[in-house]
Amino acid sequence: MIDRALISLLKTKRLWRGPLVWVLGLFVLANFVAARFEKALIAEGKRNLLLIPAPPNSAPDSDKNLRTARYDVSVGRDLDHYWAAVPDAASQPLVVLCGMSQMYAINEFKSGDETISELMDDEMAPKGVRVFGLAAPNLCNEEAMLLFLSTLSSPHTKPNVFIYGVCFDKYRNLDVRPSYQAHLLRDRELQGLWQRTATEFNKEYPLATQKMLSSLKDVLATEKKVSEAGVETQLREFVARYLPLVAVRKELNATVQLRLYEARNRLLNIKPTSKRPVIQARYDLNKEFLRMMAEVSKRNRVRLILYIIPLNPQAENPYVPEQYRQFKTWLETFCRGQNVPFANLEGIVPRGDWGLFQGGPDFKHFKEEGHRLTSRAILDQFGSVIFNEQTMAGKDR
Amino acid sequence: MIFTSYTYVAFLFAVFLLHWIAPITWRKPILIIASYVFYCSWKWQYGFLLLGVTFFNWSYGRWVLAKTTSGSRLAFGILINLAPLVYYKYAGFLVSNYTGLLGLLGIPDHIHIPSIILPLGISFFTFQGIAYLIEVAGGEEPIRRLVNFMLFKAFWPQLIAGPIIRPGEMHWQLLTPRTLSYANFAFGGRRILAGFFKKVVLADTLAPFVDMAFLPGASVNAIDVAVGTIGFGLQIYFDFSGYSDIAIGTARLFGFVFPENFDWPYLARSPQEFWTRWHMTLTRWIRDYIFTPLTFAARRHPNSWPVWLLVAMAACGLWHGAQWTFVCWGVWHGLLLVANHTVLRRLFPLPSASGDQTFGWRGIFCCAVTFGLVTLGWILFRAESLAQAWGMTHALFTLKGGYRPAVIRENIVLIVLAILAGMAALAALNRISRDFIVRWRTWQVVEDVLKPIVFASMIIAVIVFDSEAKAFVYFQF
Repeated sequence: MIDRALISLLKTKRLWRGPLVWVLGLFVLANFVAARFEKALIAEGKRNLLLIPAPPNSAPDSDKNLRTARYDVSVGRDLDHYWAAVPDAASQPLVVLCGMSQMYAINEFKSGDETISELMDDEMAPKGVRVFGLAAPNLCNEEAMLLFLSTLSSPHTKPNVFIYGVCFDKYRNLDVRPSYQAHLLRDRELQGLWQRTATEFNKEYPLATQKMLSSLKDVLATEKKVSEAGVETQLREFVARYLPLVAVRKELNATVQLRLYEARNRLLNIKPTSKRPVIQARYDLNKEFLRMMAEVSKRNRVRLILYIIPLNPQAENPYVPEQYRQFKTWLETFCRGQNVPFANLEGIVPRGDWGLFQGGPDFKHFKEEGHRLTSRAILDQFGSVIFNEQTMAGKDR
Repeated sequence: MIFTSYTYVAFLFAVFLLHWIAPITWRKPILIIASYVFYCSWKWQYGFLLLGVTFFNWSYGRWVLAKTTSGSRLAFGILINLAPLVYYKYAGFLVSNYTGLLGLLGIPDHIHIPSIILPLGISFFTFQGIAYLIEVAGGEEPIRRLVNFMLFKAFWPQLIAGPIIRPGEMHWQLLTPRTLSYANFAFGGRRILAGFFKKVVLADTLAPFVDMAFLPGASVNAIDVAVGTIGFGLQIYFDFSGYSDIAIGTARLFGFVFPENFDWPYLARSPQEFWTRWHMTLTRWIRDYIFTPLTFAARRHPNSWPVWLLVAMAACGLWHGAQWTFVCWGVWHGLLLVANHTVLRRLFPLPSASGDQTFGWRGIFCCAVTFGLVTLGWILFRAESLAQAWGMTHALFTLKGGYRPAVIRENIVLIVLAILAGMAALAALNRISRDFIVRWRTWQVVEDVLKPIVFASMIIAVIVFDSEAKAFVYFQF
């Protein structure tokens, strides 16, 4: 009954003398190479994200980590998992500290070093106020808005104070990263809030709200894929068990992107200090998002606090001085107009407390002492606002 | 089930084994079942729609059209095929235009426009069904066995996004015993790999950058428009030709030969030549079933052909989507084709009958002009609205912002340029290698050594670049 078509194909000499055998051979070789460098690739990926090394014998998403986490340790890669670690805002006042990689990266990390949000939590927890950090590399204002609305979507995560460290450089960024999209897709409450906010502020902030709706549309378009993703994910995991190349594909992808980025830098002689002028439409869009965050915070009786992040005084930064000056002026004026507590902390971390990046001084990430100074400065500058009775009662404004 | 997913690879592998192990009489039913599994994996309810359309066309072709030359019966058959397409794809468009028109006339009218999910591939299987009825009414032999017709209609490689197969192209293959040869296996594998590479590595890499340039409301500069539009032209080419490669390759693994859909379209030296290289199976459908009948009907007015050309191309645009942007895109190409045959006929060389591909300086110039004109049309195709298309075109021609982008990052210029350079190099290499094989036998040896390295690198690149299976652009049409 069984046809012999397949067997006769397998018996074809050309099949075994053609390129197929060589392709298979090379593919097997590539898998051996991937298996050999798997650990190195994972380590390089973590280094590039400036992640703090995990304690020995602990998986990054282990329950133990989840119980002790005082910030999103996945730095945006698995927000859903660490969302469970946000202290219950219904049982004590909550402060959320949000921002880019400066919040979690510690240069020259030593065991026992802590980040800004952890240091603030150390200080405030005895007074009955908990602090949680939500940060991710290159966080843009649309993502900050998503994190803000996500905290607002449940009484258990709704903070009394939302502190956002503003970074001028991130006004060149757009879009919601895939892991945050997944978070938006899974949380129906958040989707509703996202949609309502976009509709409500449509007239005042057309660019930002249109972008929000467009992001939501993209996210919902993937809904079907996610429901199908069960089989696809299982299949990928199954294949990854036997093919190291598939197992390390994300790390390899990151390495390829990094090499391309370095090649571009070499080709065009781009250095960390090369000037990066604003990209106007993106800049305007990010400004709208920040304005909208101020409005949303007022309506939800959450105290929004903004500060300009510290910069390394030793390193020449890549900003066009005039544009950066204008930005700072705009932000300060905006905060004053909106009654948003604001401080410029760009000069608070001295030269010695910064690390190195690509052979030169890192202009954005500091050692633990920098985290201590920033946490201290935030508490000094905004302590009275944070511990204000009304803020703590969630009755601000 | 997206072509570029692990699920599809597993599905293909399983069906391939099952099909070639099974006795010959089981093979067609296996392919039919597999096709319905593939289609219903997206939304099972629409499997009944496909089944209904299949039964209608088969019985109508066999019992009605094969026995009559009545034009009205053909028209009825075509209308039945068009009905689901009009309902699912154009109802919202028609109603919103109707209410808009009433609004312009000052008559308030609020008609609820229900949100209807478009059945996957409906535009393609509708066109295929219409072509079948027209061919049968024109005297072609109908497909008599239901099993053959079901396979012709539902065979999954061509079901979602073509190529649009003509009945004649498939009919003889359904009647002929198919064999699994090394040549077919190798060809199929190569094409599938090429399709994966185009889609995963090239099209999906370009997609996020293009989306930024075309984000509604973004205040774009000229450089954003230029790079974003060229990027989109490349994205849609790699996306759709990648899909076609996978479809053609998959069909070949089962012994079926599908017509080609793309032939280096951006090397076309005139708008007319572009349409002989871009979505070739749609071009011939539009030509044979819309343009030719229209010009034939108006044969007493031989100078009216430009009008029919515009009508045919507008219909081609509308087929792509129920939006005015698509209609305008079709009209833009219609105008280019009319100009190609009238005012610009001295500029653009006519395609030679021998298929001569020689490229002199004039050829390069014409190729660049054609590429520019086609790329300009992509603004209409990709824009969300006519207002956005106008804004982008205005920004482009007024050189808004000079060389400074307002939306995209400078890197994207490099990526787009690198891909364009890569394509040009590949086209040149393609020509050179052909000459080399003729003149220099050692080249064959070099090619034999290079092939496995290139194929293995492509597989690795597909694995590394694949973040998640993204839907093909043409799935929405």
